[in-house]
Amino acid sequence: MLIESRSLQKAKVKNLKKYLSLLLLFFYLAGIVFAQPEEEKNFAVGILSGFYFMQDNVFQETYGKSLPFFGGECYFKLPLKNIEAGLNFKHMRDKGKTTFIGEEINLAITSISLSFRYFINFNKFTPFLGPGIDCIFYKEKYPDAFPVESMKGSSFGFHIQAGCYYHINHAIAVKAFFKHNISKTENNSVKVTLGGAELGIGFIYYFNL
Amino acid sequence: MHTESIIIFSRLKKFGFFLFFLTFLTIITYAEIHFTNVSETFGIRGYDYFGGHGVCWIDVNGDGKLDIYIKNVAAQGVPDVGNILYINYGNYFIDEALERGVSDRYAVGTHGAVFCDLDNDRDFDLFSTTTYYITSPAYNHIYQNDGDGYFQDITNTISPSQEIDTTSRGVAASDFDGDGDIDLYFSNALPDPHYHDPTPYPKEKLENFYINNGNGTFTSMYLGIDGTSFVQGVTAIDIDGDGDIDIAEAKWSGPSTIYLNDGTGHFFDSGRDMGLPSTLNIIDSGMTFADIDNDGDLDLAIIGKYGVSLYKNTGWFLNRYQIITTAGTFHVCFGDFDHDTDLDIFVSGGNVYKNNGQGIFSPVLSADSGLEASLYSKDPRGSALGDFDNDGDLDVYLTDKKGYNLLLRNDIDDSNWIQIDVLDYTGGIGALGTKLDLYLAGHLGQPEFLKGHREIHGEYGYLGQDMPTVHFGAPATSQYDLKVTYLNGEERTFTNITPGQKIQISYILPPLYFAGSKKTNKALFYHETVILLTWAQNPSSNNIQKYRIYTLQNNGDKILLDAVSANSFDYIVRNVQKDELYRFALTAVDQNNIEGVAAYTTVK
Repeated sequence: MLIESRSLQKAKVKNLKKYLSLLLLFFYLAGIVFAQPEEEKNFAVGILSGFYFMQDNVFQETYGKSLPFFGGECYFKLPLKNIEAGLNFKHMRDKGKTTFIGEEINLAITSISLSFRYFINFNKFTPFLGPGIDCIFYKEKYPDAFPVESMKGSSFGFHIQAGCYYHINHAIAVKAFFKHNISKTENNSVKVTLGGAELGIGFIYYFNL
Repeated sequence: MHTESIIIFSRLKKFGFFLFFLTFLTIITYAEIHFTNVSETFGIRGYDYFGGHGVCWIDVNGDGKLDIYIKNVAAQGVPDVGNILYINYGNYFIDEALERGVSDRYAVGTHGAVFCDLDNDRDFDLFSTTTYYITSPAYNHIYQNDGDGYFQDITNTISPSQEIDTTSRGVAASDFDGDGDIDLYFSNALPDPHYHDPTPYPKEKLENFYINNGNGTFTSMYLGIDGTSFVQGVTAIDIDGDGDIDIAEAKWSGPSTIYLNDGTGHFFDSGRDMGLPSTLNIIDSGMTFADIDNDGDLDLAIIGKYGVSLYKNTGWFLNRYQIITTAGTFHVCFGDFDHDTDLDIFVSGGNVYKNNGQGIFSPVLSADSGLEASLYSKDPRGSALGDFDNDGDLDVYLTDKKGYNLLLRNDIDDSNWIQIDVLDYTGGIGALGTKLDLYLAGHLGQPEFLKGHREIHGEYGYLGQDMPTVHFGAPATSQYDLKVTYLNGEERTFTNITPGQKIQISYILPPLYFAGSKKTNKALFYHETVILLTWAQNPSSNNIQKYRIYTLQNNGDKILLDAVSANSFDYIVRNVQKDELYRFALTAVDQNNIEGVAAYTTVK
């Protein structure tokens, strides 16, 4: 079981690296081609990827320690000094096995978040910190022998995040971030802790409308 | 054209007559009973000191060939004679009693001895008596078979240990108390019962049973059979057909009698009530039971000094209807020697008597039967039936106190027989007390189509023990259905059996260690309670094809849940309630689709 989990994680990381390399190339080229004159920009869009480490014990038994996620975000600077607000979404999907019988099950989680961040510019680096709220949608599908076909539902949660941008040029930045999520739900008398840690990276394109 | 037809018709007539003649000849041939004395060929006549009293046909080493155990008593002035164990090597026999540990060379010698599976480990152990006469101690012995036919004396497992010499003659082995193991009984549990004195002696309570405790030990007990007069042969069989084992004792001076079992292993004398004579000073040597009229119950032959008295079972009463005059005999065997579905009689030291189908017997001339050697035996005693050459018919071994023993080979050569080895419900072999009823195929349970009723028993008559394999004469023109009734009352049926074969049937025992426990099978958003049922194969059950799993309802009904292969030893019951109590039954099913006894478990 442990060996299988490790090989699964390796495969996930390998896929992730491939996509991130392509995206990095895409954004770098886009930054060069569409770079606007150097001025303060109010909007940003980006893509995110990383791993979500859910706290729930049953999750860890059934799906392993983490889920890979992909997502996107958009930000705009608020008319307050060094504060920005943004929306992001992420989607996670994975296969697992039930704890006793070991039947294959499928999990899909999508979350939409509203975040506020305080940031400080230090030359090419911009660290940030801020809270947010999440709306989480989940669906778990089961095999035929299972008493139910699937379970689905939604939940609200909170998060706090911290990270840092590195500005490649005046239009392109990369970022690394850590997010801690707090969310619990109950479905069919089963309590699930959806919260957990999130580690990821992103590519950001700044612009003015 | 017309002439040609006449010629063809004429030839057909001739051919028809020829066919009729052939058929008639075949019938005549298969109806003949003929034996050949092959004692010298096989070199199993005993030793020059003679002394043969009883005989057991038994396969002690499990090689599929019947061996012969001969119970000897000192004769011709030779003291300390041992018993003989002739091991069958196919073309020859060798006496290996001494090296295999069962020469039982004590005191005067051995009269009664019986082979039975005392520890349900599928080999035949031995209970052998010792006859007191001057030399002391004269104790009985129990020998445990190691599976290869080598025996270890485990007499010290009897408690309390023997302190009184015995003059034992007949013995019996069966499950007298119905607890699933074989108990032992022996006659004349006294050192000197004055057996030549015809006067009955005062009733005396004798500890003449060794009750099997099921753990390798035996307890010596009195269970209602008193010492009243000297006993010769003992037979243990279900005489009244009530499902327990009764005991019949042929007595030398007092009247022979029947002790009925009350169902709990206690016995009471019922001989007079059942029609046996109450005469004194009549020397009886043995009582042999068999269904001689194929009506499904046991009839009786009492072997007395001047002949064999035949009694028909009329339900409760034993009604004497024929006497075969044969002076000086000790024993008779019932067997279907001519394979015509009814039982004939072999008289020790006498002739063979053919059954007319109604239980009336008439002698077969010795010139036809080939039994001159039997008729001229010096002092014939016990005899027994076994198929030593595995050709499907019943051969005879006859012991002689003052002459050489005889092996009489049955010369019938046909396929009109069925032999059946029964594995007992306890898992042991021998299946003492099991009843088998053979019917014409398609008529199972219909008395008018009953072609043979057998009850497996140990030593009977005067110190004889037939092979434990059940033999039926069964003309090969038909197929047969079989009903087996085990001593625990369970029945099994087998259909469309073709004659000319030996089959093994097993009582299917419950699987072992059947248990269940609740487990939680978790997905992230759904937790399912399941029950994991586990079990192990019962090594005593053969040819298991599958297991059936049932749920038990509150009213006791069983609902089939599933069937799994014979290689599966666990099963998961899905989506059960966490706080509810569940009961399950598990059965094994063999290749004949016979379902065994269920094992049960409750899961909270």
